[in-house]
Amino acid sequence: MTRLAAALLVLLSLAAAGPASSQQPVNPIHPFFAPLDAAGKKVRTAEEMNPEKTCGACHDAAYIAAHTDHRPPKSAATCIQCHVDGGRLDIRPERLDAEGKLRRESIRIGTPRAANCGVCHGLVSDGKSHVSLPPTFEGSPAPGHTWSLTQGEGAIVAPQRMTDSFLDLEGKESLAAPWDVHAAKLVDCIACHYAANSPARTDGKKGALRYLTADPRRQTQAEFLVRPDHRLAEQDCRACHDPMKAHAFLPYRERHMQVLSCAVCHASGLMGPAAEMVDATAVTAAGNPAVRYRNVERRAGDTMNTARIRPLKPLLVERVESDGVRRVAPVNLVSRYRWVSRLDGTDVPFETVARAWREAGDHAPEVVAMFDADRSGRIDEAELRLDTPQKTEFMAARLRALGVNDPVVVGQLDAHPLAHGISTRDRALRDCTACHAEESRLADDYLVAAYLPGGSPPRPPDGARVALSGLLAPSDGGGLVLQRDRDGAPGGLHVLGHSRQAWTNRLGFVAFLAVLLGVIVHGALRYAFGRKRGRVAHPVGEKEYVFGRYERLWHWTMAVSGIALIVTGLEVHGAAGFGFMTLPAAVAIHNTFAVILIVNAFLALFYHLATAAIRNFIPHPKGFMANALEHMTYQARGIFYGESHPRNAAGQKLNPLQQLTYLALLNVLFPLQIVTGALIWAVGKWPAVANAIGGLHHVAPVHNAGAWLFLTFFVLHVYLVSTGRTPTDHLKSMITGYQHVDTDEAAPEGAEP
Amino acid sequence: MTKKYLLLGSMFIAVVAAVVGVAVALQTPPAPPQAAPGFSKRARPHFDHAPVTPAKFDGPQAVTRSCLGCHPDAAHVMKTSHWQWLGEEVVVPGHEGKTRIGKKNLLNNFCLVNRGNEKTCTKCHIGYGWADDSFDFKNPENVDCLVCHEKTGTYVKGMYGIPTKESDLVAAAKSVGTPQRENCLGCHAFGGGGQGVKHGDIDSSLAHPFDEEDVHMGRHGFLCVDCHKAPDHQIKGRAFSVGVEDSNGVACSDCHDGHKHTDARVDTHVKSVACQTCHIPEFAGQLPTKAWWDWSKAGDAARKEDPHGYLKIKGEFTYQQDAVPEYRWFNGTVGRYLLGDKIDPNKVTVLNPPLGGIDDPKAKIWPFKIHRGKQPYDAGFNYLFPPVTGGKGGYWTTFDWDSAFRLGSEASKIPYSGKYGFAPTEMYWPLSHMVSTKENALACTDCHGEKSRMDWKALGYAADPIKTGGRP
Repeated sequence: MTRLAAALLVLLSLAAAGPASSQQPVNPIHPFFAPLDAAGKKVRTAEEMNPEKTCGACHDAAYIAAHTDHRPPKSAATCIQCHVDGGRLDIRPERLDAEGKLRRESIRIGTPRAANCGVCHGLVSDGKSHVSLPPTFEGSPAPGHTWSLTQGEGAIVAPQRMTDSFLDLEGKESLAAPWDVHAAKLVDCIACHYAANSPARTDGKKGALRYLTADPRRQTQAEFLVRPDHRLAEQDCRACHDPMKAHAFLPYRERHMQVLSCAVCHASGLMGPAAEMVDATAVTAAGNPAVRYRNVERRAGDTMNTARIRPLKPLLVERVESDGVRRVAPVNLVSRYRWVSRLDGTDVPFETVARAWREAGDHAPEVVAMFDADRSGRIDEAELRLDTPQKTEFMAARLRALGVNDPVVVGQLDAHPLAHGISTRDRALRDCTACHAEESRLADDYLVAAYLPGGSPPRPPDGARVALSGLLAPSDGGGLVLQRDRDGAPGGLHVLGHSRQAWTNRLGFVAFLAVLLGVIVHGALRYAFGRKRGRVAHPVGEKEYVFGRYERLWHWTMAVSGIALIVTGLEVHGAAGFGFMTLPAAVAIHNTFAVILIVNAFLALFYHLATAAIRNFIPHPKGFMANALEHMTYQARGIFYGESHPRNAAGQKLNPLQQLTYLALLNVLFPLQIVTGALIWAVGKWPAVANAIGGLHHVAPVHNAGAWLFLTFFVLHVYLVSTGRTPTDHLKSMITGYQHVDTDEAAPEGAEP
Repeated sequence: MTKKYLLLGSMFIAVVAAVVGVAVALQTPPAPPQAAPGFSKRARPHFDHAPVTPAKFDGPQAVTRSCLGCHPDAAHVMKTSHWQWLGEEVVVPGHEGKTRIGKKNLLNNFCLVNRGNEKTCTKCHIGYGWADDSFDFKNPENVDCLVCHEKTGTYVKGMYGIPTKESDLVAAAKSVGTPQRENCLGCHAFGGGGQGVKHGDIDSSLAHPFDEEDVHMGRHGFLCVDCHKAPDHQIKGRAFSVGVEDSNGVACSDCHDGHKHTDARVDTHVKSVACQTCHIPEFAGQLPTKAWWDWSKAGDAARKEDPHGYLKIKGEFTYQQDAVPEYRWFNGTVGRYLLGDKIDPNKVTVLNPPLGGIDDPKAKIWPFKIHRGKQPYDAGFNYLFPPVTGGKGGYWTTFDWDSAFRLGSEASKIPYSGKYGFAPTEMYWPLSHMVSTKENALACTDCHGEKSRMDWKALGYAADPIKTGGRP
């Protein structure tokens, strides 16, 4: 490790040691050891000490170096940084004994604490002092020091309540929940990110033999301490939490848990400052890279601790989680820009870039002249960017003058999955309409970057686990926005209340509207003609019992269920948005009445088959067409002139038009609706069904189309009921069962469809 | 026909109503939190005593006579420890037989002892004129009704409990009613000879506390008597400085019975951790309380006096404020040092050690204020000694310990060997007041983890029970 990097690390850890200090206690069983330099000689200062040689005397340093994710150039972490109290080994002559070995009180070495991880990864606090952002928060980027938890995810790992912090948070008085509930419950970093071969955590080899659920054979503690595999595990929430044991309020729990990452609801509204862009191609007057935040509102003169922070709205994308399952998960996209020397592809050191921008503690006058558009004398946040080719070339020239070979701006798009800073369950997202509505988090446009330095769009790095689906389009102001399918969702998921098939809805609505207009016109005409004719009372004849008790019961149950289903269905679909029901309520009622309707339908089917009443529904082929025509003519013409209703064929209760309608309704539409509805419900309860039928995006539109047809039928049916002797005549007969019979007619009339 | 219409029509309406009802019910927000189950709002009688108060009293006993005229049963207060400064007969742990103990005959490590010092100590007795053993405890007219019941705030008790000349008895008598917080605090906040010296969780800030300082008396406006109910003047509650058990005590569960916390994990603590431990995160927030009282330093005329540091008559002390309690197992009983018990002057004598330990199923972890100090003892007989300090001719007059011991030997009827010294002692004060709001209750990281306020090994655990498990 180079001197410079070491010094930088020492400096950084010193600076960050303030808010992140925690007492790693004295380790009572760590053997005494003397600090050694690279050659193996005993030394007495921290600068001369070489961790590989010192720690490597017992812990296999070569093995660790070969089995770690924390290696250069990504990270320059050493044993000291992670395992020692405060991130530095305090070696002073008075701490060493006569043999040059560290005294027991100075051996504060052990498993990494959250404060150790926080030196590089983000703002970690033990909560004893008020959480605030340190001055180094916007410091120059160093290897590994990415603040990935805070700047990347918007998470602050602290047990303290957010309302007790020093930050300016939106709605701070009501934020009584801790920044991170795991930190508050003493679940620290290594609880999830443990060493891969830790015998305490790993269950050994599993699953090789079908009769073996666990294999107890594993390394001993000593073997682990000598060769700890530093490829750290990445646990999913489900390693400790069983989501099915909670969330009783959630309809279709199984489906939600299958398709959604826990973080979608539990990491919504993170209150840490999350970056949108870390632009190291531009340097502020203070010598830091220009950082733009997604959820921070900085007014003139604000420091990071006084700027107003709002809840972070993440981008929901499909992601392969650490248990290998593909789910919708929230990420924060951060564009990272830097100058690169095109010749050999190496990064231009930030100090060089800073020298190109700054002079004597402030921006160089030539730079100010170039960038200060409003002539205010300083470069504001909005001006500090390479958003024109002239500005880019200007800075490139200055870099070339400092000896950089062929500088070019390169941007990288990092997707940081939100997994930390999870707060208590009362802060979790409970609003169904955040996703299940026309305006849904799953389909919102997402601003990737407000501007593109050097005009080059950021590229995802190799091996990214996140699939960005949508269209990357330019935004106003020269930036980049991710436009997504307004009616869809990531992964092609069908989201009730949000996903819709445009043409099904359009055609269905047109059909409904057409029928509605038709019956209004028909009815108006009837009324107008009727008035012209004057009131002619039909002779009131005898009453005949045509509708049995079961038939009426069956009819009205069907009617009530149907109305309830249509109303709640519209509520679920979201289009009507009556607003007197919540989505879970609408779903619950819809399912209840669906069951009632299905039971009712089957009972009625059985009844009709058993009593042969089904004969009424079967059209008689003889004279069918003539009869049908007769009815149609009556509806189109005769009814206006007060003619009496054409008679049904002998023994038939229903007229041909009714028989045709019911044929289609009972044999096609009802089964289709019931089957598609059952499938939608089944997908919610047994998510594996979704895989079997290839998702809901074909099934749901069919159900939707059927619903429109039912609605249309309902309008027509109710209207035609009014075509009896008096407008309420047929309605009464469906309630009482008795029908008026014309005195000079032999056969009874049937009810209207 | 019409009946059928009606029947079917109403059935239909019923179904529709059911649907709408279900929809609405599924949306109704949860009911707001109720008051604690055992709590009942008490009506405080408001009777204006002005019309029935005589125009003049010829002495404090005359006031009491006048009260007794309408409230003869009020004399029952004489059966209680407020009057007698003695409790019922109890077996004091570590001693044989039953004795009556109380402020009358016990030692503490504050002002030490009442006997012999009645002049100053009985200022806080609810009677008039207790100067020595000749005081008539059976005479109801000696009871001071006004100290608890008057509301002018101008009534002051002087030496021997007799009201000062400036106290307007008539005005005080006219103002009587339900005891306010100031009535109780008038004595209980000044125990030990000054503001907030003794208890740590009782001082004058409880008269008008902020919600966070005391949620019952602040946010909810409780009077002391709302918890320390006094049926027939038998006031509930007895301090563990003068009693060894709390059969007539006050408990959180008197009102908060069977309470379930929002976080179910907290409920698993309830069998080992007292409510007070988490809900009293600190004591002596607004006003400091005495933590250390070294009598051996008293008498130095050359030293500069400072009521929070050194007084010639009392010695050297230190105060603490915003103090973190110390935590011990406690099963509701304490041992008690009685006059004449032998001590080892080289070790700390605990005057009222809380009993119970990790293996005692009745014991829970309680928060304590521990008052430490050095107090006079008889170096020949090796027992703590009750000297006369504020009484006639006592140490505060002569600054002569030997003479103070002799006088004390007569007053308390305990032999004095002629040699005196100062021995280290401790007194434990379990905290139950200054209950903060639930938002300020201790959180997981306050006791578990690196920066813990618990000394697990001292409590008998192998290590932090979050890692090793609690007691079964």
